[in-house]
Formats: sequence, structure tokens, C-alpha cells
Amino acid sequence: MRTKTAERLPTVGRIEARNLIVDYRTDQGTVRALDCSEFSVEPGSNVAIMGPSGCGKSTLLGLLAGLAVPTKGTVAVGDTRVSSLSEQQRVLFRRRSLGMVYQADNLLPHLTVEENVGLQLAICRSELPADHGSDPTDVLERLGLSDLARRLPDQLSGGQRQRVAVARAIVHGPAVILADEPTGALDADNAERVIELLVEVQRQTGATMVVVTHDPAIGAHLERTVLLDRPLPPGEGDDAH
Amino acid sequence: MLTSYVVAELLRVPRRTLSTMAGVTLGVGLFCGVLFFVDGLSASMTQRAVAPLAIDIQRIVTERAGGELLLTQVFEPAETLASGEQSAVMIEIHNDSELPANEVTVRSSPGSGLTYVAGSAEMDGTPLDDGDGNPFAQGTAQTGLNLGRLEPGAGHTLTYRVEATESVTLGDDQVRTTFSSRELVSPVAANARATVPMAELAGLIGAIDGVHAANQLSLASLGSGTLSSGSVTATGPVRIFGFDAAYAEADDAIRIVEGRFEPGGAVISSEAARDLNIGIGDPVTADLPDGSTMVRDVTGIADLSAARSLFSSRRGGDLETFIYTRNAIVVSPVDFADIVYPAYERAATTTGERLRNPPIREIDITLDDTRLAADPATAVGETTAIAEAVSEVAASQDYLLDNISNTLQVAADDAVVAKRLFVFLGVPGGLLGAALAAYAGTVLAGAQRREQATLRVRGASRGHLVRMLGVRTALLTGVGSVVGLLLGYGATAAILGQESLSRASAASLIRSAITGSVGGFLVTGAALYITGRRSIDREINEDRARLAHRPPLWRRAWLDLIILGLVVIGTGVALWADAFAGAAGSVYFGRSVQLNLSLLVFPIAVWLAGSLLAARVLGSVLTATQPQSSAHLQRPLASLYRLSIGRRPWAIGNGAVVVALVVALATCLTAFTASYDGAKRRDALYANGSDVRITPRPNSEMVIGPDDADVFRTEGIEAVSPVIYAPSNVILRSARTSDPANLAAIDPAGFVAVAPLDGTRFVEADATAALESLADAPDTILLSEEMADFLKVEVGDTLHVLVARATDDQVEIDLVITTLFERIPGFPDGADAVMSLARHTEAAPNKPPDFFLASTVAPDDETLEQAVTAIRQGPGTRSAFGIETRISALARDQSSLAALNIAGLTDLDASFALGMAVVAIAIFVFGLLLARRREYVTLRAQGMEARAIRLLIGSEAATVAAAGAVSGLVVGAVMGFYFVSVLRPLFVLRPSYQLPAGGAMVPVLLVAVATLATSIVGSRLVNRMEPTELLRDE
Repeated sequence: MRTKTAERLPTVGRIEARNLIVDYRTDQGTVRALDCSEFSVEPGSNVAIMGPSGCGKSTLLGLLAGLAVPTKGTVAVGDTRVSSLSEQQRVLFRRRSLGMVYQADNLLPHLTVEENVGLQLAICRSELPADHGSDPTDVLERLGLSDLARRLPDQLSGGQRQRVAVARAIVHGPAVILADEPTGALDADNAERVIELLVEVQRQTGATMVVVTHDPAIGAHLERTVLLDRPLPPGEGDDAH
Repeated sequence: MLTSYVVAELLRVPRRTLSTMAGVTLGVGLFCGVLFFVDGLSASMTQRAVAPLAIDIQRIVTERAGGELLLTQVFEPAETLASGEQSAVMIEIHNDSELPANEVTVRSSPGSGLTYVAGSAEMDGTPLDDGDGNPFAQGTAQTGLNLGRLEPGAGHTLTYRVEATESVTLGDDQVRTTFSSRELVSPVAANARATVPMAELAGLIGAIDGVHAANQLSLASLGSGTLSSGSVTATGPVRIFGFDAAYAEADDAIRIVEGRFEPGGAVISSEAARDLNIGIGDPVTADLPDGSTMVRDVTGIADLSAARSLFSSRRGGDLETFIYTRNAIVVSPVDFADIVYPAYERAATTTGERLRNPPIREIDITLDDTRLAADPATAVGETTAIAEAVSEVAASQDYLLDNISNTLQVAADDAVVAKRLFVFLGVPGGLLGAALAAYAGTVLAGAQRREQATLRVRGASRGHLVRMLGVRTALLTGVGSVVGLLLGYGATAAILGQESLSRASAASLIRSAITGSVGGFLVTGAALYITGRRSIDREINEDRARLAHRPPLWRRAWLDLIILGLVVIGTGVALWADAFAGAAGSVYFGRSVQLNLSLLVFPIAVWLAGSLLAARVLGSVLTATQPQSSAHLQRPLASLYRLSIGRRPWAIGNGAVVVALVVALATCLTAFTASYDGAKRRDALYANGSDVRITPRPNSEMVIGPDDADVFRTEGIEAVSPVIYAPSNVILRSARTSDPANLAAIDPAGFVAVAPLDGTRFVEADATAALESLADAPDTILLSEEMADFLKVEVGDTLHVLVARATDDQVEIDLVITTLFERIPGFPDGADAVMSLARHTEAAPNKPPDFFLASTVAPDDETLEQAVTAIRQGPGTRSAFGIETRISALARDQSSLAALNIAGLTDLDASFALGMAVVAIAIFVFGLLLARRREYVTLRAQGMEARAIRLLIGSEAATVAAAGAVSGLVVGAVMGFYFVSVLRPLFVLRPSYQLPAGGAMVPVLLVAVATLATSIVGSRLVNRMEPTELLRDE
């Protein structure tokens, strides 16, 4: 089933990251948060990123989302070299191409379910084509959330909230869905249902999806798994890049 | 371990720490500042209170104009009597002088434990009739035995017996025996010590520790026409004084305009010199009451017209009233003692009549006020001790008027009122500090919920969290209190002046420092702790839901409406009981200003409840206008703003409460200061009569008549009006009685043009119409209600008025009373009657105006100063004038509570309040960032621009600022009205409530600027947030 939203996906090529290094300066010196020589995801596919704690999974996701810039290396999504964009260009990139799901639902607590979803669309509307026909109500219905549309997040269970977060991530028809430990705060049943939902939606929309997880069971739902190693301290192994 | 963790946490988040501590610091700083202010101000009250005193202490010497009568008393037996035992009281009185004494009366009465033995009284061995008991103390009035005339050398022996009803030791205190005579009205006790001569007495008093100077002053009233030179006689009554150059030098009001004091010579008043047409070296003759004369060469001419020490009344009925006599002659104390005083003695003993105004001899004592304690309550103890020491010198010879102790007692009472008043003015500051701390605590607790949850997950118990809260609270409030203490001292020193503050005793400053810092520590600490404790006690999710929907406790308890209801009821009761009226202070009555300070609870209640009510209304409006849930949001920023304030109204409401409290306090202080200063200025203008009062000096060469007033219409002067006025310048006579009175003769149209009639009170008549009616009906008079009561007259009655009293021109005219008044401007000593100047001049053509009232073309001080300069440089160069202005009248009002530096205190309050306004807004903005940072980074991840998020933060902060400012203005205006109403008794005129728009806008503008500034700073912080970290954190 191809939805109306999916039909209007922006054209996005593959996701590609090369020679990525992210260093943070602290009082104790420079800390390397990510060291990734190559990472790529084909368009329309989904991939799980796994690795030990501190290997830079979420950092990599932040780079892909344009929420941070690498110390070294490049990130490209299709023709867009995200790592070279200005702040304003990255904002536009996120509006046009990106949907995100986090470990915490990060729903705005004072907005109802439909408002949380509707806000995402309102934010992106200026960057969407005029004939973009996405409707939050349709999305909520499709994800079985219609009955909860007028509830506040505090009135939902954890699994319901995460499903709303998924709805928010896809309502504007993004070409890329990034999910950071989307099931980390859920019990096993809810985790299963949410990852199935994410994969289903990704396949329906044809978006490219990257999921960060530490749970092999979650990774098993995805087409491919990429393992990240914990980065070496700065100065050690730099020659490899 | 816990402490080091908390310290590290506080240092790790400096913005949060500083925001919280700022509230504590400002609250403690203000509270300490107010206490320091009170210390500094109290320390200057002694100097301010004693400054206007003409004479600190007067030792009035009982004159012995009846000659040297000696009264002795012995007892036989003289030892202690047991109950039932008797003793004889033997009294001898003898006239040792060369003059007879008339109507000599001996009074003797046994005291407690003794009774008169019936039938035991004898005089010169002859039994006396007991009459109504003891013949030496008859009836309830205890009237003594009149011995009649006692010729020189004559005497009597009086005896009687007393019986003890209990064990009694006999002595002069147990059997009090005195004598008096026609010449010596004041009773003199038996066995009194020999009279100490005046000069010796002055020397003994002058040697007392704490006494700066003790000088003799003698004064007496001579009759009319008793001062002459050659064939020319000065018209009117004459005062004769005996004092020396040292006395004159101690009193700035005695101005020698020509010549000097010389022993054996005389100084005469300028008016007498002009009337007699004499100068230095010319002879002047005073006719003394026994028919003798005293001729002296004039060695000096003095302007005595402002010498209160010489002309203030010594009579009990009108003590301290300034009653000036224009014809005065001053001789040396020796001449007064050797020539003038004996003349009075002779007159008193030979004419057979009691002297109505016997000579007064006194030692005028000036204390070394630099040695007095700065605090009037302590100083009054010191002056009382000095007064007692003065009394013990030659005791029983005279009595004491302790003016300085009386004044200081009133000042001490005023200081107590001032302290309470100031504490009330400072209380809002302290409460505001606590409110700010509580607000900061709420924000802090909200931001720490996640940290606390993490700690719990890691194994921290509830007890650990509570102990951490305790340590955190102690550190924040401890450091904040110390910094606040220093800030309070510095701010007070800056506003009050280091000199004023340094006059306060170290003990009182230390007491204030401890009270302010410890009190502030406890109050703000409690506010901080309680909010934190509530946060710990809540479950995180429950708390999250509650924050969104549940109104604060005060709203659920209807606290605002309950308090306001109580205020309304309390105000009604206070109005019904006339509790706002209070009573004006009076040194004469030894009474300080009576303020009902308990009423100051009202403005504070209005302040708190009003601000809460405003937040209630705001919360209700926001809730009622929140948009319905919809999936179709159009403009994201506008939608987010409306949803945020509509669904989280109490976040806005709590912020608005704090801002409203701050703005209300600042507004109240602005209104209070403006009203207070306005009232003081109005009082000064009212007392002065107009902007300028020009009084021709006695030595003025130019006589300015009623028609010459335009001579003063120099640059800056709009209108001038002449006035004839002096205390006791007329005799008012009704069909029932008569009395000396203070008459003001005015030019009705001119007076109405120059005088402030706002506070003038006429009975059943408009002030302007009543005054102007004098022009249409010159044979009428306006009378004070008090005088009308005394004279027992009513409107329509005819009053006989002796104008130009005691001058050649004095004449009695009949005037019809047209209306009664309570008070009229321009006459601080009181006006009993007002008549037309034209009619006065018609009756007494030679009487020139006593002063001129002039109004300036503009009400500002600069115009006034220019006008005064123009007068000095114009007519002032040709003649001598005394010029008083409303500004000098204001500056002179330094002895009353109204002269307190309340403006300084309000400056202190306002400065801190404005600082708190900035902190309140900063806490709100930074609180938003702390509490909603996850929301903001989520929005960024969703594609919202940082600029839009900044606008969102700014819009919410602006909403808080605007709602708080508007509410604060309204609440502050009402609060200020209450403050002004409570302080009404400080002023002569009812203070008009003023709220200057400019002043009121200052806190509003500051809040606006603070909102803008903190929003900008907050925006930068939004940009610096780490979205990746924040979004994955749970």
C-alpha cells in the first residue's frame, strides 16, 4: 500500500558518511565521541546501528539529522552535503527530509496528540509542495490513534506516546526517518509493537530509516545492522582515516 | 560527601545558583538596609529635634519682691514619734528686709501618719480658733493663715501640736510649712536655704557636666509710654531686659545692627530707636513702676524681632507663644538687679496691688548637644539627669522648665513611631525577598526533578534528597544573606550618607545586622526549602500532570479573595471608627504623632491579595481563551504560544504574581513618596502663606504702606498682597467677654490671589467667597471657631475690635461676624480673626503692613529662587527685609516626624524592588529554559528555527511582564492610597494622593527592559543547547 504521503516523498539519494570524527573539549581534555570511517544506507532501506555504550551511535544520528556538525568528515543525504550546510539550511533540510523518533517520546506536554502531530506538519508546511496533501487525522487513524487524538501525553501509556511520536515523525512525509533508541523506554511487548510499526511505516512510505538500538531483538527487525566500535582517544589511530 | 556533591552541583550550574541566590540577596539586603536606615535616621533625630529650641533649660528664679521674709520651723520633741505620741510644731516668720510684706500667709499641714491636735494652735502665745480643723490648712483647699501686713523687723511665732497615728520621724517633709505673700505668690518652704545670687547661681549651673553655658536673663514689662528720650516718648508697651553680651552671643536671633553691649549702657530695639529718633550715644529713659527713672546712654541698637528666647511667653496658658513687643531696652544684669528689680519690689509693697506681670529672672541654660546621645531615647535620659543636677543647685529656690527633655521625649516617641513605620515600609521588601526565593525555589525544584529521579534510580533515598536540599538551601541562603547584608549596608550608606550611618551606635548596627541577616536567612530559607521539599515529595509523573493542570495552593484555598474580603471589612470598620484620623504631634502637649500603625496591615494585605487576585483573573482568562484541540494548526509559533499560555496558565500566573508584587511595591512607593513630598510642600506653602513672605525688618529705613506692595513685584513675582498681623495685636470684645487675639488684616482680592486656600476650612462657606466678601462688606469680620466659642458669639453678632492695640492709633471699631473658619493659610501662630486691610487702614492709618505675601509666576523652585534673588537685588538693596519662602519653611520643619527622610527609605525600597523586578523576570526566563529545554530542542529537531523559539520565549516572558506590570500598577496604586491614608496625621493639610505617571512607568519600563535583556540572553542559551544529548537523555 502506497499512501498519499509516500507518493509525495522528496527525492533523496543514499545516506553516506565518510571519515567522521566528533571530538568534544572538556576540562579533562579532548574526548572523542565518534570515529566512523564509512557509513551508508541505500535509499528506501532501513538499517540498525548497534554498538557498545559510548561508541557514538546517537552522535552519528545527530550528524545525520543536522543537529550537530562533525569535527572532521562529511555527511551527505542524497545530493545534500548536510555537514556543510549553514544552520538555516539544516533547519530547511530537517523540515523537508527528516522525521525523528527518540527514546523519550519528547512530545510537548501541553499539546494534545493531534496537536503534537499537527504542529510538525505546520512547521514543515512552508517547505512542502503546495499540493502536499498529508493530513494528521489520516496519519493518526492509520496508526490507530484516532481515539487518543484529544488526549494530552500525560494521559497516555508509554507505548501510546511512542506511537504518537512515530506519527509525528512521518506526518510530513519525510524521506529519512531517524530513530534513536525508540524502544529503550518500553517494555518488551510495546517495544515489539513500536519497531514493527516503524518498519511498516518505513516500508509503506518508502523512506530511508536509520534506527539506533542496543537491543539485538530490535535490530533483527531491520534489513541491515551496522556495528560501531568505541572510538579510540584522539591521536590514536588517526592515520586510519 | 553530600555537602561536596551539593557544592559541586551549585558550581556546575552557576546561572541557576546565581538566579536563586539573587532573590535571597536582594530580600536580605533590603531588610537589612531598612534596619540600618532606621539606625542612621534615629541617630540624627536628637540633633534635629533640639535644633529649633530657643532655650534648652530655663531655671526660673522665684522672685522675692516682698523683701527678705524668713520662715523657720522646729519640733519639740524632734525625735521619732511612736503611735499616739505628740510633738509641738514651732514656726517663726520674720521680716528682715527694709520693706513691708503684705498679705503674708502661712500654711502648715501634717503629712501622712500625723494629725493636728485640735485646739493646739497658737499665735504669739494666743490660742487660735480651729475653725474647720487645722487653722494653718483650712478646708479642702488647705488654705493657710493670713497674717496680714508684716512691717520691716516684725515677726510672729506660731505653734501647734501633732499626734502620730503610726511611727513617724519628724522633719520638714513630714510637716510641710510654707509662706506666700502678695509680692511673692509662689510658696516658699520653711527652713529654705538662703537665696543664692543670680550670678553665683549661673556660675554653679555652668559648672555642671554637660552644660555648655548658663546665662542670666531678667525681663519685665513696663507700661505704655515708659520709654523716652528727651521730649519724645515711644508709643506702646515696653519690655525691659537684663542680660549681657555673652547671652546675646549665644542666641543668633539677637542681632546687633549698630553698636554693642557695654556695662552701664543700654541697647534698644530698632523700632524704639526709630520712634525716639535716637542713635548710639543718645540718652534713653525708662520709667520704672515705682515712679523712679533709669537713664542710660544707648550703646547699641538691636533687631530683636526674631528673638524667641526673649519674647516667648513664660505663662503656663500660652507657653512658648511668641509675643513680641517692639519697644525694648536691654540693660546689664547688674543694673536690672540693682535698679529695675528693687523698683518692682517697692512698687509691689507700696501701691497695695498685686503686680500682674512681676519681673521674671531666670538662668537660661544651653547644653552641650554634641555630647548628647544620637538616639533621642538615650539623650532624654542624659538631659533629664542634667536637669536634675541643675535643680539640685540651690534647690527649692525656683523651678525648672526642661524644654530639651520635653522635646527629646517627643522625638523619642516619634522615633518609635518612625521605626515602626519604617519597618512596615520595609516589610514588603522582606516578603518580596521571600516570594522571590520561593519562586526561584519552585523553578529550581522543577528543574531538579529529573536529577532527583536519576539520584533515586542510583539508590539515593528520600532522606538523602531531603538532606541535600537542606545543605543546598543553607548554602544558598547563607551566602545570599551575607552578600545581602553587605549590599544593604552599602545601599543605605549610599542613600543616607556614611556620616549619618556612622552616628548610629555600633550596638544598634550589629543588632540590625543580626536581625536582618538571620531573619532574612530564615524567611528566604524557609521559602526555598518548602518548595524544594514539596518537589521531593511528589512523584515525577504525578508532578508533571499537576504542573500542567492544577492551580496553585493559594488559589485553591481562595486565599486572595478571603484576604481582600477581610481588608474590605477592616477598612469599613476603620472608617466607621475614624481610625485613619490619628492625632498630630505637639511638643507643647508632650505628644508625638499618633499614627494607627496597625492600619498598615491593610496596604500589605492589599498588596499580597491584590497580586494574587490579578494572577487568578489572568489564569482564568488564559484558561477560558485557550484554543480547542485541533490537528490543523496554521501558524506554528502563534499556535504554540496560545497553547502554551492557555494550557499552562499557572506558570504565567506565578511569574506574573512575582512581577506584580515588585511593580506594585515600586508603584506604591512612587505614589507614597510623591504624595508625602507633595503634602510636605503644601504644608510649607500653607504655613508660609504663599511662595514668598517678605517681612520688613525693624531697622528697615523704608516704610512700605499697603498701597506700596507693588514694590515687590519684581521679576518672577506674579502678585503681592500686604498683611497686617501679629500675635495679640487686637482686643476682641463681645457682649460677654473680651480677650487679646491675633488679627489678620488682608486685602481680600490680593490674598485670594497669592494664598493657597485649598486647605482652608470655613464653616458653611466657600473660602474664596468668604474672604472676598470682606471687600464688599468692610465692616465685617471672619472669626475662628475657637475664638467664637471663647467669646460666646455667633455669626451676625457684632464684635468690638481694638485695632492698633497699644499704639497712638489704637481705636475700637465694631465689626459684624459673617462667618467662622477653622484655619487660614499664612499664620503658623494662628489667626483668630480676619478683617479687611482697607478697613483697618481706615481705622488706623499709620499702621503699615507687617509682611507681604507674594506668589511666583510659576510653581517651580527655580522660578522661586530667581524671584527671591530679584527681590534681594531690587528693593532688598534699599532696605532690610526678612524673606521666607515655601522652601525655607519646608527646610525649617525639621523637628517633626514629617521631616524624616522617608524619601530616602523609599529610594532604598524602590532600588531593591527594581532589582528584584529584574531578578524575577530573569528567573522566569531562565526557569523556562531549565524546565522546557527538552521542548525547545525537540522543536529545533522538528525543524523550528531558533529565532522562532526565541520569539516564543520572549512572548511568554512579555506576557508575564505585561500582566504583572499592569496588575502591579493597579495594586500598587491602591496600596499607596492606604499608605498615604495611614500617614495623614503627619500633615497639617489632608495629603492629596498623587501617582506621577513618569515615576510609575519606571518599574514598568525596567521590567520591559529586563524582559528584553533576559530573553536575548536566554535565546543565546537556546542556541548553545546540545540537542543530541538532550533528546536522548531520559
